[in-house]
Amino acid sequence: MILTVTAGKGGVGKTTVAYNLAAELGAVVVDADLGMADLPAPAGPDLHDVLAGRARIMEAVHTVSNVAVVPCGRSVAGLRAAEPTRLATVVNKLTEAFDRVVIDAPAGMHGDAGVALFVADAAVIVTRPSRPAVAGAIRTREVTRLLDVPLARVVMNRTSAPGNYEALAATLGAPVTTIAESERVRAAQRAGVPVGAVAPDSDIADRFESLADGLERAL
Amino acid sequence: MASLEWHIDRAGAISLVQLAVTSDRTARITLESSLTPVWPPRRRGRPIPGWDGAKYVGTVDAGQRLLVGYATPATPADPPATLIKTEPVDNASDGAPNTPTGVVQTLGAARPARDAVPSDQALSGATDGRVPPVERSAHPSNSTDVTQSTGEPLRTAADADHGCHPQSERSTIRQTSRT
Repeated sequence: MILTVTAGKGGVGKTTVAYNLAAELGAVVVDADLGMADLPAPAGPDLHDVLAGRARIMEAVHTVSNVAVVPCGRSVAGLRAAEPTRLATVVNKLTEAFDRVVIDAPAGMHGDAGVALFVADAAVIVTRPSRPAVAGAIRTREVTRLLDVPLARVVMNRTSAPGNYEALAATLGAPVTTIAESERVRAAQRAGVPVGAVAPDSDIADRFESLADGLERAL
Repeated sequence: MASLEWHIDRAGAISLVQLAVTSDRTARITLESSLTPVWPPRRRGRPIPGWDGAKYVGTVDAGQRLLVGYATPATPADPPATLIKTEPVDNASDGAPNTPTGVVQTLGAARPARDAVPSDQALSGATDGRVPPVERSAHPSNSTDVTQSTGEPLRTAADADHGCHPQSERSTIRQTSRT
């Protein structure tokens, strides 16, 4: 199963969702945000190196807090050297070693975001309860339709109050899961660990577990 | 039945080839240029969809003309290209890309411009010659090599972004063939 977590704009918590989802699913998470990488990045080969043909994909798999991670480089030079179309081959190679792959895609609608969706069995769109973020989610949904990628779930992230998202679910054509704004999530992200590792019995950890369960059932 | 017409302009040492394919029914056609190398039009730094080396694959609608153009440094030949395959298609494609390269061609590449990456010379000046290993491996010694190392050929007279179409020293050849 290849699941791509994407968003129409940055700053909505896409990487947080991808990382915690991978932890819950027991998946390897690939930081495919080639120009704005955010997942923990241990020393060693990364996705830039793999996409530039300088390393093999299995050399770039690291373990961070019991989560298998393929980190991405942060340099402009690495970005320039990376060939985004190779991502499809690289991810398919990963599926030989891992049953489940979560891709943290770039925000937006450029080709690198498109390739991360193209290779997926299903997509998760992350957004926030703000007008620009929802507009970005709708634009991203158009890309998934163009590429014929099923949308498994929409995550309305960092909510501060209960809301009714039925209209959004109808527009995007997928159930909406809400995840509340949480200091525990921010603290876990700062520490580079899944929230389930620092607050396993918390409501927020339960939400990520529930999201993962729902996706497993849907796929 | 598909037919091919061609027209060649000479601009200095460059041949600008224009091909027009027509068919009485919708067909997927494959053309092969006998003039090589082919410099196809580029969009966002990549050959436009359909080109693979000297071959072009496209769909011509019934009763319409499919126009294909490219440049080449080769001397004009007669014909400059041939129709090597014609397959009838019942339903036109919905236009969705079906390869990673097609996705990038459709949506556009998000890579930084070449100028955004400092050359080794610039790095040497800034660091007294101590160039970080990763930078050295990613960037050969000058900008031309950077271009070649990343697999993007230099832009040519056929570059669609620039619409370069020299007017001098032109000659014309016009022919038709049918398959």
